[in-house]
Amino acid sequence: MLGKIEDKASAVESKDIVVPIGPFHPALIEPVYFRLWVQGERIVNVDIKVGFCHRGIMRLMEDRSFQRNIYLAERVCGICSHSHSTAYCETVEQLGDIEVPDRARYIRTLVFELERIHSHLLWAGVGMDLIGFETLFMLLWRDREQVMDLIEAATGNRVIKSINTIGGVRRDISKDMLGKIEDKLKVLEKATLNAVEAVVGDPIIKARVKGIGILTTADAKRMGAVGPTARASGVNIDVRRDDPYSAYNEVSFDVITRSEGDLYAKVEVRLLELLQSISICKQCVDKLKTLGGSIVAETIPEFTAGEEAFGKVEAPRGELMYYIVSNGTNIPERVRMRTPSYVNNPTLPLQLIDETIADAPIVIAGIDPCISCTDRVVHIIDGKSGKSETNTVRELALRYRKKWRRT
Amino acid sequence: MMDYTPLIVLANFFLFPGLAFSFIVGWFSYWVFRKLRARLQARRGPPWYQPLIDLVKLFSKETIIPISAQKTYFIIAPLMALASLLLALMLIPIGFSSATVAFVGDLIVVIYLLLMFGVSTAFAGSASGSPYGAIGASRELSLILGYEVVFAAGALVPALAAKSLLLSDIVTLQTGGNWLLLKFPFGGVAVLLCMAAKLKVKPFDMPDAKQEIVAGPFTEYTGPLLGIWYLAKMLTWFVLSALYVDLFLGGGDGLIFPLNLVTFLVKCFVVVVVMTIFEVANARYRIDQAFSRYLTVVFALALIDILRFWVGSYLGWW
Repeated sequence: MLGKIEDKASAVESKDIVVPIGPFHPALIEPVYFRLWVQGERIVNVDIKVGFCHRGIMRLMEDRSFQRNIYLAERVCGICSHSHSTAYCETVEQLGDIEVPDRARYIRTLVFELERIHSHLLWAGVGMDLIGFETLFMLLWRDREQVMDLIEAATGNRVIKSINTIGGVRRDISKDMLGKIEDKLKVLEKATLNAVEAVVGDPIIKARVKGIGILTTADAKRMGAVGPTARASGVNIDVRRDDPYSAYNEVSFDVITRSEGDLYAKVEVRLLELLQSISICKQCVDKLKTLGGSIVAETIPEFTAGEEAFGKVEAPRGELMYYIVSNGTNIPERVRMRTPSYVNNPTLPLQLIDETIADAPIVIAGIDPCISCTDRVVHIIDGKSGKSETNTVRELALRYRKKWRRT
Repeated sequence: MMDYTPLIVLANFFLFPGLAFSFIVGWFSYWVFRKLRARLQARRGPPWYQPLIDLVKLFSKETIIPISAQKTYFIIAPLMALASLLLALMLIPIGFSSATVAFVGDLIVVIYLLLMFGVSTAFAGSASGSPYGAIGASRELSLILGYEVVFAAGALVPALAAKSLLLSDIVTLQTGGNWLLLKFPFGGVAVLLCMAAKLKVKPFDMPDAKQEIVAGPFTEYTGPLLGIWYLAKMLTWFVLSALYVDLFLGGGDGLIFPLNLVTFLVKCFVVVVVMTIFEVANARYRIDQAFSRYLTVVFALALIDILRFWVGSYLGWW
């Protein structure tokens, strides 16, 4: 895997300029540091440094009850907060053998797809900004407000949806509100179709993204890429179809794939997924109109020590996986999450080498990286001696708690 | 207006059409650009005094010069840009049929002075000691290689039509609505496209592409020095649109005093609006794409009109 990158990277010479992108850079909102070795405008080698935004959420989860952890899971990522809480709740439900009512499953699916629309529109806007198309960036974000309103109508919140709970959802959607959501979905569909037309038809956008940042099918499989990044490279995977959760086995949708693996394919995959998501939302609204019943399971779960469970969902960026071990109490023994960017980020050097600096921001944004959910264990390297030390979060917490108490 | 007594020269340099007048027009041109762009992008946009308060803020701040920068050149570069623009203003007829200073070949001098702005940008970038500046400078220079010949070729079309390299002759030729843009639309469009690169309007704004290289050559500038760059940027809006109006849109149309100036300024704002729409409707090219497009498509446009002029003179079209 590494050998491949080294093959591709030419020998780095001392006269090569190092162009830093990050940790704080106008193109990337989140703290991540890319070192690009360039010859003229051409990138010859890439180094990624993450870890500027580590928050120790997995550790914190081991101190809090299952119920309180929903709050933490939602805050792993602002954009895909519902994906995280759904993945977490589904895993806990597996652990406690809880049956989720039908109505709750449909509400989860509806909010999930609204979140995907919001995330993909946000991504498309940022992508347009990165190739310098400020106008389309502004207009796409204006249209994104429609879906934010929809999310607010469905959940009562705009960004952190706070609708999931263990065994169901916390808020029901009234019939009146469902009608409003349906009307607004039509407006959103029209706006989305306009946006797709504007992006796909523009010659300059095509000149900028066609054939850039290619990730081959073989590379995507070897690096374990997930989500739209993998689907644009011809890997036909989608958790929603392959391993359905919530109500995904009862709605119909297409999995969009492209074989080219370049940025244009990634744009196409995401934009066409938008239309699929709107169709799923419509199906959910139709179903919710007739479906009755409660929205949360009544059973009191029991956890047995040593039991473990896996849950996975298709977050907007790809497969998101939760692994939870119970110790028989109401507090989990271990929570481990694997976010999509964690596996997608390492494909970036393969896509960046041999491109130009002008393309670096859009290639990086092409996989829609989410940085703060990627950061795991702190790895400290002493700049003077080169001695490195890997700390678990527990060790660091103990060390700094002591320091804090002394002063 | 060929009076060269020191007081008149100073007044010309600092009042009309020099610093004071061009600052006000440049300020409004830049504001129109920003406001219109914002409205077309479904944003609110800045209030009319925004360029002024930006300048006041910059001039009241401290200047920081990075250790790795070449101090002298770092300071000289913005002054060079501003000075060449003010000099160019002396040679361009503003509303009247003749400029403050007019001599045979002043069109060539104006083209050189406008080139100085790009060159000093590249100069600033390489002197700033920052990798973003260095890349910005190299992009600026490649862009100049692409558009400068095309710009000169396009600007040559009106000169050929007037059989003179004197800007006032070109303006006089167009009195009575004989705008050269109507006769030579291809050359006019070619010059307009080259102006896009000089004004850093999309899709040709890669030397200071903020998403890629922060602010390019201007990354390390702070305080008054950045203020001078800002001022120079505002002046380029006016200087370039004024030159375009003189070359292709008939200048002040030979009207009497207040009317000629008003007509001229209205035309300048039309040019600004066209550039704004151009900016709003486009994404950014990569530097190699822009370079090749200038030397193929845009150059071809300019050459078509030069050829049309020669063929037309044999056949007696004009």
